[in-house]
Amino acid sequence: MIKSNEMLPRERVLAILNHKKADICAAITPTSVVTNECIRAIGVSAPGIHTTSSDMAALAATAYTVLGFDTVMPYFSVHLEAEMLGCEIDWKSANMPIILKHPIKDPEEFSRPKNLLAKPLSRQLISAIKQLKSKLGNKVAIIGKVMGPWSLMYNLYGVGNLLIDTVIEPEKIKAFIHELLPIPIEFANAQFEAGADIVTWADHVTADTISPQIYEEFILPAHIEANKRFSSDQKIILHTCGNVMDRLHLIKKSGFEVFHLDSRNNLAKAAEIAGNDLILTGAINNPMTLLSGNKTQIKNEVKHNISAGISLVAPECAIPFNVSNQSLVTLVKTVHSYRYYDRSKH
Amino acid sequence: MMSEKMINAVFPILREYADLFNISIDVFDASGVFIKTTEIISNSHLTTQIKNSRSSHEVNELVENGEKKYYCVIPISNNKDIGYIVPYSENASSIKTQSAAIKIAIDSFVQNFAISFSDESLTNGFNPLHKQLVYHLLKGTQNQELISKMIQLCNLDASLSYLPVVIDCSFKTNDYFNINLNLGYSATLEKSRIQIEEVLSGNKYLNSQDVLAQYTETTYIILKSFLQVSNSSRIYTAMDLICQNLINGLSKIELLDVRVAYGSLSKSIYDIRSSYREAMSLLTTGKSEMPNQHFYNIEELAFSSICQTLPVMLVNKVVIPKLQLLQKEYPSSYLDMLTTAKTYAECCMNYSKTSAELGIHRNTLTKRLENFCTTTKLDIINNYKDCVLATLMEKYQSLELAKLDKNKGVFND
Repeated sequence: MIKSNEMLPRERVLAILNHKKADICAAITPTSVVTNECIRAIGVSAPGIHTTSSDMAALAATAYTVLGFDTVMPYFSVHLEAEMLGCEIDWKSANMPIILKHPIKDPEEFSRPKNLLAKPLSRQLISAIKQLKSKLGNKVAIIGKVMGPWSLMYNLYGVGNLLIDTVIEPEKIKAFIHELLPIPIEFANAQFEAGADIVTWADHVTADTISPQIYEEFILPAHIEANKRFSSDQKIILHTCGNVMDRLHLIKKSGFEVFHLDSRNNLAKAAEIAGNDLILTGAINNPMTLLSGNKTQIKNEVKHNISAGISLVAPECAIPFNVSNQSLVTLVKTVHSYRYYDRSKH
Repeated sequence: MMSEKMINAVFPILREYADLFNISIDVFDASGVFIKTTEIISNSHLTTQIKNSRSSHEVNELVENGEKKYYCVIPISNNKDIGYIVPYSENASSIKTQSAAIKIAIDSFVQNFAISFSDESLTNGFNPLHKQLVYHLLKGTQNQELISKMIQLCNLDASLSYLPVVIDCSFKTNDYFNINLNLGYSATLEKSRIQIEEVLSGNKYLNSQDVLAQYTETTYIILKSFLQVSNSSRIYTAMDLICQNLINGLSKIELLDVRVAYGSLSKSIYDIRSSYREAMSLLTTGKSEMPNQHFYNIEELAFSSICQTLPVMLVNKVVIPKLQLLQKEYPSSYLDMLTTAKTYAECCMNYSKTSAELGIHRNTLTKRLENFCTTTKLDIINNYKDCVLATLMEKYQSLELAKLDKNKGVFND
């Protein structure tokens, strides 16, 4: 039997991802856990925290050094690829960056640029990952991030236009997805090469915008195709905000091994659907629990998540910057107080 | 029995109370079988005790693993027992008060949203809260706070724009009454209703921000959500396709006759009522003018729609007086003359096409048009605007016909 806290954070996370024994449950960061307190503590600010590798790495490291998470993740926004592909971005916004202008008026206008990895923002993220690898060695797992083709279309074309086109111009949208798909695949591979242990693949295919049939028709084929391009060592976490209960059975078919879900989902039912084939991570509520809740509420929610079968506990999505470090530390400490229980064996 | 909808609706409330009082709460179905707990693991084996419990105020004792626990049994019901809630505590003195508080909260919740938990809605494919929301939005309820609360409970984003789709369903009836046939027909109707809900809630163009509800016995309402876009005409293009898709799905249902229309995009869900009226107006006009069609869009019913909202002065100063002149001069044939004028306009003021369309000789056509011009002082032969006015007159007359004294056929101001 493995004793509590016997494993290094990276070992723990990778063990759980590989369905092996771990000592305790892990607290991870597939999405941003940046706080104003950490930003002030290390003396960084926007836009550097999004666009400068040293700032990105320094801030990402605080997830482990200050907050105690088992992972670090240096890509806090969802906008790096958006700018590389032509979006006008306000990087200096008080919280997360804002897209000021969508470059695409018609999906047929889009042409995939060559040498995306040579673009400045791409190199900054790769460099940040390398710096984290160098600084934290094999102690802590490093999570990279890419935006999937559906989320890229949101950024490039606009959500409203995209959703309308799934009705009136479906073939154009399918062609657009096909054109975009190599981008996150290439970017993810580059991040793995730089030292990332895991990559979050963010694709916002939530029930709030599309039906499960639209997911199945438009995006699932792309997800299946993407997962064929990664090896079994390359762990990808699919992240989707919002309610996904009606499409979780489809997500299970996509090939993603890990799914990051939010608190709006019925966790017990999600775990039942996921079974042993899909590892769930999440799903601590941000606005009610982490931002506004007290220690007891955080502890109770962690308990509920673990009892539902989640051993990789995380905030449900990028946290608001004004979440307190104390809330996150409470989250991490509570998670670490639970022994890991391999449900796949029972 | 306790439905999954009911459990999912009340469980967050139970969790809040469990956390607040630092107790655990179990949920059992009507047979006393354990369903769910607020704890990680429940060791409850209370089936017999629950069924034998007489009152929710009664404090019961349980010994598990050498530890004493105290509990009350709260029935949760909607005019019949359908489940039990059992709070546990190590503190005998507080469990009764805590259980009473939980009972008040659950009773209040079930009562306020009773329709959500009625027998009918427990098997309904739609979110039962949507029905209440649609009712209050379309009836023009002034209680904005209640509507806001419902929007919140439905997890809807109130900043989205909404557009109402009205789906009018009628069931084809059998002209022959036969008790055996009738019994089979009722079962088919019930099956069809369930299929309607399945088709609508399974439509690929609808998402969780859309509202679906059965509004009346024969009418279903969809409030379709959209994000604002710079070119709103694309939304209407999409809606035409969505409605056609809905009709395609519904047309496969046995015995069902379906008519669909939608209203204009409302920037706020709170203001959806006027759009709903537009949709109903299109539906009513469409069913009257094009009874064999299933989808009524504004392009095909443009003239009728315009005629229903003509300026009062135009109606009183031009339309009615000229109709009266025509009727007075040609009491037995004024309807033919109006039809002739309308057809002439529809045939782009072409004599050959008009006479072919009406099946009359060109000379007859010429005579009718000349008589029309002379009587009404509208030069429809040479003037396009007068032609349009004549068409408006014809459309107005056909819409207003039901208001006339049919025996006298007299227009009234």
